[in-house]
Amino acid sequence: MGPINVIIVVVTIIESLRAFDIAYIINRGKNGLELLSTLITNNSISEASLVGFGSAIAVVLLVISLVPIVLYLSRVMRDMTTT
Amino acid sequence: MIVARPAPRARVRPGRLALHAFLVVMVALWLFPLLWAIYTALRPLSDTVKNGYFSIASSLSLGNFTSVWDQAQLPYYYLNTLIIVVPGVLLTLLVSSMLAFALTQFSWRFNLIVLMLFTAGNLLPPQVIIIPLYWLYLNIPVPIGWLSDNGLLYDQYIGIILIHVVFQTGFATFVLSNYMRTITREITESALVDGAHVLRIWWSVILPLCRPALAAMATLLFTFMYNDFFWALILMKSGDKRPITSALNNLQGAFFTNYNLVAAGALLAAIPPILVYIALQKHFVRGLALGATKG
Repeated sequence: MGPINVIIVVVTIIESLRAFDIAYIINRGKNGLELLSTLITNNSISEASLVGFGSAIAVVLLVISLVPIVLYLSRVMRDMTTT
Repeated sequence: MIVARPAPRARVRPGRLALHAFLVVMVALWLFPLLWAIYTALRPLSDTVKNGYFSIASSLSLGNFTSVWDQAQLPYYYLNTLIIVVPGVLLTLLVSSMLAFALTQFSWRFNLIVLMLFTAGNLLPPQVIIIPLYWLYLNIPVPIGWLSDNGLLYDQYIGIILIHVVFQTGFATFVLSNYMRTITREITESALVDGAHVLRIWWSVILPLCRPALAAMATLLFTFMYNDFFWALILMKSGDKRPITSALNNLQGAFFTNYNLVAAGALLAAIPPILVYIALQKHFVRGLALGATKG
């Protein structure tokens, strides 16, 4: 595994955490397509007004996505400072 | 490709054969939904209602394309997208080139931290910030009439343009600063000695040097902003201001959806980015190479 492969894996993880469009278009993110991102949207904005519940899911998503983001940044910035 | 070669000089290694088989399978998998969408769009509704979507078409026509063009008012939504994308791209390039200029040409203690913050913000899922953003958009007053006809950022072109500029500036700054790092600081310093103002150096020295990077960025930003679905869906309420990607969502009814029509509309909506891609392919590939990775 070269360093570029690590970056590809990390970026793929980040992108999959960002997935929203396709799940939402198929069935509004219900019945088995409950991603964290669609749950946030459905709970806090679209129909229900469980803003606190939605915000809590958003914080969970933030914490989860910070792990690959920090990994990615430390890789990229290390290359940037050494070269 | 290997099969087409008449007389292979070296024996075809099994590893290479497996790789090409894998690639062909992946291409087929990738093309399958697209080809199916084209096939579905060409069939009239009555045909699919009778025989289902997994069947041989009895007749093919372009009727769905013409009816979706009129019925869903596609030209109007193309215009909406244009109203959002063109100022968005220009503003993003302006702001991010200023930022990248300051971050690469001048020594400042927080250069790296600012760059890291911008990149991190761009990588974050947009759903994380949507709840506070939604309420901000509902509460920020915009008193200027021609920018906002309801006095808010919510449900306005200006709001969508702003969120695009803010969200894409991180990525654009990252890429442009990678490019500007290759310009030596001596150029900036000698211009400074000659008495040029900082803004003047940015506009008439650095920007002309960055023209290839700016062109590459513009094509990338165009496709990112064009393909956006989420912001326009959440931050706009009225259907007649939405760009084409989220306006297609209106074609889905609550109880019945004419999928043939949706397929035709989606294919038509996909045409402008493809045209831009074909026209500016050289810049596009270079832009991907500049950024190395898109967050």
